[in-house]
Amino acid sequence: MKKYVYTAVVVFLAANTFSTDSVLAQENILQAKEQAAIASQAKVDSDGTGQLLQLMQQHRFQHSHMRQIQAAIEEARNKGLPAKPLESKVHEGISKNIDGERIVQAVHRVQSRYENAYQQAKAISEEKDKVERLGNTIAEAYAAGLKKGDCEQIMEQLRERLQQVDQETGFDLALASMMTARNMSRTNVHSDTTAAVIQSALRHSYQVQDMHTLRARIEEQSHLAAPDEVAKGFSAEISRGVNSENLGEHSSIGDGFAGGFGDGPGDSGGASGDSASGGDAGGGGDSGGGSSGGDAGGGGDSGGGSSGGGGDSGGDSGGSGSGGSSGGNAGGDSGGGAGGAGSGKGGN
Amino acid sequence: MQYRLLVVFIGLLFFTGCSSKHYTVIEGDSLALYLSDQEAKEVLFASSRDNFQWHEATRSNDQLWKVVMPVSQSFRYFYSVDGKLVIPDCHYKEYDDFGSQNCVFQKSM
Repeated sequence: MKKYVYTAVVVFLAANTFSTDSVLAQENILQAKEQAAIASQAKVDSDGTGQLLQLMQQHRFQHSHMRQIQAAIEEARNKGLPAKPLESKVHEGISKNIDGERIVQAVHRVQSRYENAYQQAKAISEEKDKVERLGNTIAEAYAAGLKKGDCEQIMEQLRERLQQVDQETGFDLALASMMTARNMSRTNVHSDTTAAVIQSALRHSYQVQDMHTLRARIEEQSHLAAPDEVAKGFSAEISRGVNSENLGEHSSIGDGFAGGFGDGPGDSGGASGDSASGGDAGGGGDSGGGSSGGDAGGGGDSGGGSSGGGGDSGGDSGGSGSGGSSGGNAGGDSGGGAGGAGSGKGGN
Repeated sequence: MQYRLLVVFIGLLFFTGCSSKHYTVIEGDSLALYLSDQEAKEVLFASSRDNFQWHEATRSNDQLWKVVMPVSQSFRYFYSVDGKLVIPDCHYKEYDDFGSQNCVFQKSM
Protein backbone atom coordinates (compact mmCIF):
# COMPACT_ATOMS: atom_id res chain seq x y z
CA MET A 1 0.00 0.00 0.00
CA LYS A 2 2.79 2.33 1.03
CA LYS A 3 4.44 1.59 -2.27
CA TYR A 4 1.37 2.74 -4.20
CA VAL A 5 1.05 5.95 -2.18
CA TYR A 6 4.75 6.71 -2.68
CA THR A 7 4.47 6.13 -6.42
CA ALA A 8 1.38 8.37 -6.64
CA VAL A 9 3.17 11.19 -4.81
CA VAL A 10 6.20 10.91 -7.06
CA VAL A 11 4.05 10.91 -10.20
CA PHE A 12 2.05 13.92 -8.94
CA LEU A 13 5.19 15.89 -8.10
CA ALA A 14 6.80 15.07 -11.40
CA ALA A 15 3.72 16.14 -13.32
CA ASN A 16 3.47 19.34 -11.35
CA THR A 17 7.12 20.17 -11.87
CA PHE A 18 6.82 19.45 -15.54
CA SER A 19 3.79 21.71 -15.78
CA THR A 20 5.55 24.63 -14.00
CA ASP A 21 8.65 24.11 -16.10
CA SER A 22 6.50 24.08 -19.15
CA VAL A 23 4.88 27.42 -18.30
CA LEU A 24 8.26 28.95 -17.51
CA ALA A 25 9.70 27.59 -20.69
CA GLN A 26 6.83 29.06 -22.69
CA GLU A 27 7.37 32.46 -21.08
CA ASN A 28 11.06 32.28 -21.83
CA ILE A 29 10.36 31.38 -25.43
CA LEU A 30 7.95 34.30 -25.76
CA GLN A 31 10.48 36.70 -24.27
CA ALA A 32 13.23 35.34 -26.47
CA LYS A 33 10.99 35.76 -29.52
CA GLU A 34 10.23 39.36 -28.54
CA GLN A 35 13.88 40.10 -27.96
CA ALA A 36 14.79 38.51 -31.28
CA ALA A 37 12.12 40.60 -33.00
CA ILE A 38 13.43 43.74 -31.31
CA ALA A 39 17.02 42.89 -32.16
CA SER A 40 16.05 42.17 -35.73
CA GLN A 41 14.14 45.42 -35.99
CA ALA A 42 17.12 47.23 -34.52
CA LYS A 43 19.21 45.89 -37.38
CA VAL A 44 16.75 46.68 -40.10
CA ASP A 45 15.46 50.02 -38.95
CA SER A 46 17.09 53.02 -40.41
CA ASP A 47 14.76 55.48 -38.73
CA GLY A 48 16.08 55.16 -35.21
CA THR A 49 13.24 53.10 -33.76
CA GLY A 50 15.49 50.07 -33.41
CA GLN A 51 18.07 52.08 -31.55
CA LEU A 52 15.35 53.42 -29.30
CA LEU A 53 14.18 49.89 -28.55
CA GLN A 54 17.72 48.83 -27.74
CA LEU A 55 18.04 51.80 -25.43
CA MET A 56 14.80 50.88 -23.69
CA GLN A 57 16.10 47.34 -23.28
CA GLN A 58 19.31 48.66 -21.78
CA HIS A 59 17.26 50.64 -19.30
CA ARG A 60 15.25 47.54 -18.42
CA PHE A 61 11.90 48.75 -19.66
CA GLN A 62 9.12 46.23 -19.19
CA HIS A 63 8.18 44.52 -22.43
CA SER A 64 4.63 45.80 -22.20
CA HIS A 65 5.93 49.38 -22.00
CA MET A 66 8.22 48.86 -24.95
CA ARG A 67 5.34 47.42 -26.96
CA GLN A 68 3.10 50.37 -26.08
CA ILE A 69 5.73 52.91 -27.06
CA GLN A 70 6.48 51.06 -30.29
CA ALA A 71 2.76 50.90 -31.08
CA ALA A 72 2.33 54.63 -30.42
CA ILE A 73 5.22 55.45 -32.75
CA GLU A 74 3.87 53.18 -35.48
CA GLU A 75 0.40 54.62 -35.10
CA ALA A 76 1.78 58.15 -35.35
CA ARG A 77 3.58 57.25 -38.57
CA ASN A 78 0.49 55.63 -40.01
CA LYS A 79 -1.52 58.76 -39.29
CA GLY A 80 1.06 60.99 -40.95
CA LEU A 81 2.23 62.45 -37.65
CA PRO A 82 5.90 62.95 -36.83
CA ALA A 83 7.47 60.14 -34.80
CA LYS A 84 10.42 62.19 -33.64
CA PRO A 85 8.65 64.08 -30.83
CA LEU A 86 7.50 60.75 -29.39
CA GLU A 87 10.98 59.24 -29.61
CA SER A 88 12.44 62.39 -28.14
CA LYS A 89 10.06 62.13 -25.19
CA VAL A 90 11.34 58.62 -24.48
CA HIS A 91 14.95 59.86 -24.54
CA GLU A 92 14.01 62.76 -22.29
CA GLY A 93 12.27 60.44 -19.85
CA ILE A 94 15.27 58.13 -19.72
CA SER A 95 17.62 61.06 -19.07
CA LYS A 96 15.35 62.28 -16.29
CA ASN A 97 15.26 58.77 -14.85
CA ILE A 98 11.47 58.55 -15.18
CA ASP A 99 9.91 55.10 -14.85
CA GLY A 100 8.61 53.27 -17.89
CA GLU A 101 4.94 53.59 -17.06
CA ARG A 102 5.13 57.39 -16.86
CA ILE A 103 7.16 57.55 -20.05
CA VAL A 104 4.43 55.59 -21.82
CA GLN A 105 1.82 58.04 -20.53
CA ALA A 106 3.94 60.99 -21.65
CA VAL A 107 4.39 59.49 -25.12
CA HIS A 108 0.62 59.11 -25.42
CA ARG A 109 0.15 62.74 -24.39
CA VAL A 110 2.61 63.88 -27.05
CA GLN A 111 0.86 61.73 -29.64
CA SER A 112 -2.51 63.17 -28.72
CA ARG A 113 -1.14 66.73 -28.88
CA TYR A 114 0.25 66.23 -32.36
CA GLU A 115 -2.88 64.48 -33.55
CA ASN A 116 -5.03 67.40 -32.50
CA ALA A 117 -2.52 69.98 -33.77
CA TYR A 118 -2.30 68.37 -37.22
CA GLN A 119 -6.09 68.20 -37.39
CA GLN A 120 -6.26 71.93 -36.75
CA ALA A 121 -3.55 72.56 -39.32
CA LYS A 122 -5.37 70.51 -41.97
CA ALA A 123 -8.30 72.86 -41.65
CA ILE A 124 -6.01 75.64 -42.90
CA SER A 125 -4.05 73.86 -45.61
CA GLU A 126 -3.99 70.53 -47.39
CA GLU A 127 -0.35 70.74 -48.44
CA LYS A 128 1.78 68.29 -46.50
CA ASP A 129 4.69 70.58 -45.67
CA LYS A 130 2.38 73.38 -44.61
CA VAL A 131 0.38 71.03 -42.41
CA GLU A 132 3.67 69.93 -40.84
CA ARG A 133 4.92 73.46 -40.20
CA LEU A 134 1.67 74.71 -38.78
CA GLY A 135 0.90 71.46 -36.96
CA ASN A 136 4.30 71.41 -35.27
CA THR A 137 3.91 75.03 -34.19
CA ILE A 138 0.47 74.35 -32.73
CA ALA A 139 1.76 71.24 -30.93
CA GLU A 140 4.60 73.32 -29.47
CA ALA A 141 2.07 75.90 -28.32
CA TYR A 142 0.08 73.12 -26.61
CA ALA A 143 3.23 71.86 -24.89
CA ALA A 144 3.83 75.38 -23.62
CA GLY A 145 0.37 75.60 -22.10
CA LEU A 146 -2.06 76.76 -24.79
CA LYS A 147 -5.36 74.97 -24.21
CA LYS A 148 -7.12 73.20 -27.04
CA GLY A 149 -10.31 75.22 -26.59
CA ASP A 150 -8.37 78.47 -26.82
CA CYS A 151 -6.52 77.25 -29.89
CA GLU A 152 -9.83 76.33 -31.52
CA GLN A 153 -11.10 79.85 -30.92
CA ILE A 154 -8.02 81.29 -32.61
CA MET A 155 -8.45 78.90 -35.53
CA GLU A 156 -12.09 79.85 -35.89
CA GLN A 157 -11.10 83.51 -36.11
CA LEU A 158 -8.40 82.58 -38.60
CA ARG A 159 -10.83 80.73 -40.81
CA GLU A 160 -12.99 83.85 -40.96
CA ARG A 161 -9.99 85.93 -42.01
CA LEU A 162 -8.93 83.32 -44.53
CA GLN A 163 -12.10 83.92 -46.49
CA GLN A 164 -10.87 87.43 -47.22
CA VAL A 165 -7.33 86.61 -48.38
CA ASP A 166 -5.62 84.26 -50.83
CA GLN A 167 -4.46 80.82 -49.69
CA GLU A 168 -0.78 81.65 -49.43
CA THR A 169 -1.35 84.77 -47.34
CA GLY A 170 -3.88 82.89 -45.26
CA PHE A 171 -1.37 80.22 -44.41
CA ASP A 172 1.33 82.76 -43.58
CA LEU A 173 -1.09 84.59 -41.31
CA ALA A 174 -2.08 81.35 -39.58
CA LEU A 175 1.57 80.40 -39.05
CA ALA A 176 2.51 83.85 -37.76
CA SER A 177 -0.50 83.81 -35.42
CA MET A 178 0.35 80.41 -34.01
CA MET A 179 4.04 81.30 -33.63
CA THR A 180 2.94 84.31 -31.61
CA ALA A 181 0.60 82.15 -29.54
CA ARG A 182 3.38 79.61 -28.97
CA ASN A 183 5.90 82.23 -27.86
CA MET A 184 3.38 83.87 -25.56
CA SER A 185 2.60 80.51 -24.00
CA ARG A 186 6.29 79.80 -23.59
CA THR A 187 6.68 83.01 -21.61
CA ASN A 188 3.88 81.88 -19.33
CA VAL A 189 1.09 84.08 -20.66
CA HIS A 190 -2.19 82.44 -19.66
CA SER A 191 -3.91 80.47 -22.38
CA ASP A 192 -7.07 82.56 -22.42
CA THR A 193 -5.06 85.80 -22.53
CA THR A 194 -3.05 84.45 -25.46
CA ALA A 195 -6.25 83.58 -27.33
CA ALA A 196 -7.73 87.00 -26.57
CA VAL A 197 -4.68 88.84 -27.93
CA ILE A 198 -4.49 86.83 -31.16
CA GLN A 199 -8.24 86.96 -31.75
CA SER A 200 -8.25 90.68 -31.16
CA ALA A 201 -5.37 91.14 -33.62
CA LEU A 202 -7.15 89.06 -36.25
CA ARG A 203 -10.43 90.92 -35.74
CA HIS A 204 -8.59 94.20 -36.23
CA SER A 205 -7.16 93.09 -39.55
CA TYR A 206 -3.59 92.56 -38.42
CA GLN A 207 -1.53 91.27 -41.35
CA VAL A 208 1.33 88.78 -41.33
CA GLN A 209 3.92 91.47 -40.64
CA ASP A 210 1.76 92.96 -37.88
CA MET A 211 1.63 89.57 -36.23
CA HIS A 212 5.44 89.35 -36.32
CA THR A 213 5.67 92.86 -34.87
CA LEU A 214 3.16 91.97 -32.17
CA ARG A 215 5.28 88.96 -31.27
CA ALA A 216 8.44 91.07 -31.11
CA ARG A 217 6.72 93.74 -28.98
CA ILE A 218 5.42 91.22 -26.49
CA GLU A 219 8.86 89.65 -26.46
CA GLU A 220 10.51 92.99 -25.66
CA GLN A 221 8.18 93.97 -22.91
CA SER A 222 7.79 90.58 -21.29
CA HIS A 223 11.40 90.88 -20.11
CA LEU A 224 10.42 93.95 -18.18
CA ALA A 225 7.02 93.17 -16.73
CA ALA A 226 4.80 90.17 -16.06
CA PRO A 227 4.14 88.69 -19.53
CA ASP A 228 0.46 88.11 -18.81
CA GLU A 229 -0.02 91.76 -17.86
CA VAL A 230 1.87 92.88 -20.94
CA ALA A 231 -0.35 90.69 -23.10
CA LYS A 232 -3.54 91.96 -21.48
CA GLY A 233 -2.38 95.52 -22.05
CA PHE A 234 -1.72 94.76 -25.70
CA SER A 235 -5.09 93.10 -26.08
CA ALA A 236 -6.77 96.26 -24.81
CA GLU A 237 -4.66 98.44 -27.09
CA ILE A 238 -5.42 96.35 -30.16
CA SER A 239 -9.14 96.57 -29.32
CA ARG A 240 -8.77 100.34 -29.24
CA GLY A 241 -7.33 100.21 -32.73
CA VAL A 242 -3.64 100.72 -31.94
CA ASN A 243 -1.52 99.44 -34.79
CA SER A 244 1.26 96.92 -34.25
CA GLU A 245 4.08 99.45 -34.51
CA ASN A 246 2.68 101.55 -31.68
CA LEU A 247 1.85 98.77 -29.27
CA GLY A 248 3.12 99.41 -25.77
CA GLU A 249 3.92 103.04 -26.38
CA HIS A 250 0.90 104.46 -24.63
CA SER A 251 0.34 101.98 -21.89
CA SER A 252 1.68 102.43 -18.39
CA ILE A 253 4.05 99.57 -19.09
CA GLY A 254 5.22 101.21 -22.23
CA ASP A 255 5.73 104.58 -20.59
CA GLY A 256 7.69 103.10 -17.82
CA PHE A 257 10.03 101.05 -19.88
CA ALA A 258 10.19 102.09 -23.43
CA GLY A 259 11.61 105.50 -22.72
CA GLY A 260 14.36 104.50 -20.39
CA PHE A 261 15.62 101.55 -22.26
CA GLY A 262 15.65 103.01 -25.66
CA ASP A 263 18.50 102.92 -27.99
CA GLY A 264 21.47 102.10 -25.94
CA PRO A 265 24.25 99.83 -26.78
CA GLY A 266 22.15 96.82 -26.17
CA ASP A 267 22.65 95.58 -29.66
CA SER A 268 24.78 92.82 -28.43
CA GLY A 269 21.93 91.65 -26.32
CA GLY A 270 19.78 91.25 -29.33
CA ALA A 271 22.40 89.62 -31.35
CA SER A 272 23.33 87.04 -28.89
CA GLY A 273 20.24 86.31 -26.97
CA ASP A 274 17.41 84.03 -27.67
CA SER A 275 15.05 86.50 -28.98
CA ALA A 276 14.87 89.02 -31.67
CA SER A 277 14.13 92.00 -29.68
CA GLY A 278 17.19 92.61 -27.66
CA GLY A 279 18.77 95.11 -29.90
CA ASP A 280 17.19 98.43 -29.96
CA ALA A 281 15.44 98.06 -26.72
CA GLY A 282 18.50 97.12 -24.83
CA GLY A 283 21.28 98.90 -23.19
CA GLY A 284 20.78 102.32 -21.90
CA GLY A 285 23.11 102.22 -18.98
CA ASP A 286 26.32 104.10 -19.17
CA SER A 287 28.34 101.03 -19.05
CA GLY A 288 25.76 98.51 -20.06
CA GLY A 289 25.48 96.49 -23.14
CA GLY A 290 29.09 96.15 -23.98
CA SER A 291 29.46 94.66 -27.35
CA SER A 292 32.06 92.19 -26.37
CA GLY A 293 30.43 90.55 -23.46
CA GLY A 294 32.80 87.72 -23.57
CA ASP A 295 32.42 85.32 -20.78
CA ALA A 296 30.32 87.52 -18.80
CA GLY A 297 26.88 87.80 -20.09
CA GLY A 298 24.73 89.23 -17.47
CA GLY A 299 26.90 91.64 -15.75
CA GLY A 300 29.84 91.35 -13.50
CA ASP A 301 30.12 91.08 -9.80
CA SER A 302 31.63 94.44 -9.88
CA GLY A 303 29.75 95.20 -12.96
CA GLY A 304 30.02 98.85 -13.70
CA GLY A 305 27.05 100.69 -14.85
CA SER A 306 26.17 104.03 -13.47
CA SER A 307 22.85 102.94 -12.32
CA GLY A 308 23.71 99.44 -11.21
CA GLY A 309 21.28 96.75 -10.46
CA GLY A 310 20.17 95.84 -13.89
CA GLY A 311 22.99 93.52 -14.58
CA ASP A 312 21.34 90.40 -13.56
CA SER A 313 18.36 91.05 -15.60
CA GLY A 314 20.71 90.62 -18.42
CA GLY A 315 22.15 87.61 -16.75
CA ASP A 316 18.87 85.99 -16.32
CA SER A 317 17.74 86.48 -19.75
CA GLY A 318 20.47 86.66 -22.12
CA GLY A 319 23.14 88.85 -20.78
CA SER A 320 25.38 88.77 -23.72
CA GLY A 321 28.03 90.80 -22.24
CA SER A 322 25.81 93.44 -20.95
CA GLY A 323 27.84 93.59 -17.84
CA GLY A 324 29.38 96.45 -19.63
CA SER A 325 32.91 97.48 -19.91
CA SER A 326 33.65 97.21 -16.28
CA GLY A 327 31.40 94.27 -15.59
CA GLY A 328 33.62 92.38 -17.88
CA ASN A 329 34.14 88.83 -17.09
CA ALA A 330 32.05 88.03 -14.21
CA GLY A 331 28.38 87.94 -14.62
CA GLY A 332 27.17 88.78 -11.22
CA ASP A 333 24.36 90.13 -9.28
CA SER A 334 24.81 93.77 -9.22
CA GLY A 335 26.56 94.74 -12.34
CA GLY A 336 25.64 96.24 -15.52
CA GLY A 337 23.18 98.87 -14.64
CA ALA A 338 20.47 99.53 -17.08
CA GLY A 339 22.51 97.88 -19.72
CA GLY A 340 21.77 94.60 -18.08
CA ALA A 341 18.11 95.13 -18.45
CA GLY A 342 18.62 95.91 -22.06
CA SER A 343 20.41 92.77 -22.82
CA GLY A 344 17.87 90.86 -20.91
CA LYS A 345 15.60 91.35 -23.80
CA GLY A 346 17.96 89.59 -25.99
CA GLY A 347 18.37 86.46 -24.12
CA ASN A 348 16.77 83.41 -22.90
CA MET B 1 11.36 108.67 -11.66
CA GLN B 2 9.71 105.45 -12.77
CA TYR B 3 12.98 104.46 -14.37
CA ARG B 4 14.92 104.92 -11.12
CA LEU B 5 12.32 103.02 -9.19
CA LEU B 6 12.58 100.20 -11.67
CA VAL B 7 16.34 100.03 -11.37
CA VAL B 8 16.13 99.97 -7.57
CA PHE B 9 13.49 97.27 -7.76
CA ILE B 10 15.54 95.13 -10.12
CA GLY B 11 18.58 95.65 -7.90
CA LEU B 12 16.69 94.53 -4.81
CA LEU B 13 15.37 91.54 -6.66
CA PHE B 14 18.79 90.32 -7.60
CA PHE B 15 20.39 90.98 -4.25
CA THR B 16 17.87 88.59 -2.78
CA GLY B 17 19.26 85.93 -5.10
CA CYS B 18 16.06 83.98 -5.45
CA SER B 19 16.59 81.43 -8.22
CA SER B 20 19.14 79.72 -10.47
CA LYS B 21 20.49 82.46 -12.65
CA HIS B 22 20.92 81.52 -16.20
CA TYR B 23 21.52 83.13 -19.54
CA THR B 24 22.68 82.41 -23.05
CA VAL B 25 25.21 84.13 -25.24
CA ILE B 26 25.76 83.63 -28.95
CA GLU B 27 29.44 83.83 -29.78
CA GLY B 28 29.88 83.51 -33.53
CA ASP B 29 28.58 80.09 -34.50
CA SER B 30 28.52 78.91 -30.92
CA LEU B 31 25.95 79.21 -28.25
CA ALA B 32 27.17 79.44 -24.67
CA LEU B 33 24.79 78.69 -21.84
CA TYR B 34 25.71 79.91 -18.37
CA LEU B 35 24.31 78.71 -15.10
CA SER B 36 25.20 80.43 -11.88
CA ASP B 37 25.65 78.12 -8.90
CA GLN B 38 28.51 78.71 -6.54
CA GLU B 39 27.80 75.70 -4.37
CA ALA B 40 27.55 73.11 -7.13
CA LYS B 41 30.18 70.42 -7.41
CA GLU B 42 28.97 68.92 -10.68
CA VAL B 43 26.73 70.43 -13.33
CA LEU B 44 25.44 68.38 -16.26
CA PHE B 45 23.46 69.61 -19.23
CA ALA B 46 21.05 67.72 -21.51
CA SER B 47 19.13 68.93 -24.55
CA SER B 48 16.87 67.70 -27.32
CA ARG B 49 19.65 68.42 -29.81
CA ASP B 50 21.27 65.07 -29.13
CA ASN B 51 18.52 63.02 -27.53
CA PHE B 52 19.20 64.37 -24.06
CA GLN B 53 22.66 62.94 -23.61
CA TRP B 54 24.30 64.34 -20.49
CA HIS B 55 27.26 66.68 -20.99
CA GLU B 56 29.49 68.05 -18.28
CA ALA B 57 29.43 71.81 -17.85
CA THR B 58 32.75 73.47 -17.17
CA ARG B 59 33.42 76.01 -14.47
CA SER B 60 33.75 79.42 -16.08
CA ASN B 61 34.61 81.12 -12.79
CA ASP B 62 33.80 80.73 -9.11
CA GLN B 63 30.12 80.93 -9.68
CA LEU B 64 29.38 80.32 -13.34
CA TRP B 65 29.09 77.00 -15.18
CA LYS B 66 29.31 77.03 -18.93
CA VAL B 67 28.19 74.76 -21.78
CA VAL B 68 29.06 75.53 -25.39
CA MET B 69 27.30 74.10 -28.43
CA PRO B 70 26.66 75.04 -32.05
CA VAL B 71 23.84 77.53 -32.49
CA SER B 72 20.59 76.03 -33.66
CA GLN B 73 17.09 77.28 -34.19
CA SER B 74 15.37 75.82 -31.20
CA PHE B 75 15.83 73.09 -28.60
CA ARG B 76 14.68 72.03 -25.15
CA TYR B 77 17.06 71.58 -22.25
CA PHE B 78 17.63 71.16 -18.54
CA TYR B 79 20.45 70.69 -16.07
CA SER B 80 21.44 68.28 -13.38
CA VAL B 81 23.18 69.95 -10.45
CA ASP B 82 24.82 67.48 -8.08
CA GLY B 83 22.41 64.81 -9.22
CA LYS B 84 19.25 66.90 -8.99
CA LEU B 85 17.30 68.02 -12.04
CA VAL B 86 17.32 71.80 -12.34
CA ILE B 87 15.18 73.93 -14.63
CA PRO B 88 16.69 77.39 -14.36
CA ASP B 89 14.80 80.63 -14.61
CA CYS B 90 14.79 80.88 -18.38
CA HIS B 91 12.64 83.11 -20.55
CA TYR B 92 10.96 80.39 -22.61
CA LYS B 93 9.61 77.25 -20.98
CA GLU B 94 7.30 74.39 -21.81
CA TYR B 95 5.75 71.55 -19.86
CA ASP B 96 7.65 68.28 -19.99
CA ASP B 97 4.76 65.79 -19.59
CA PHE B 98 6.43 64.42 -16.47
CA GLY B 99 5.05 67.04 -14.09
CA SER B 100 7.87 69.53 -14.56
CA GLN B 101 9.12 71.86 -17.29
CA ASN B 102 11.96 72.32 -19.74
CA CYS B 103 13.73 75.45 -20.81
CA VAL B 104 13.39 76.22 -24.50
CA PHE B 105 16.10 77.97 -26.45
CA GLN B 106 14.71 79.87 -29.38
CA LYS B 107 16.89 81.79 -31.76
CA SER B 108 16.05 85.32 -32.74
CA MET B 109 13.23 85.77 -35.17
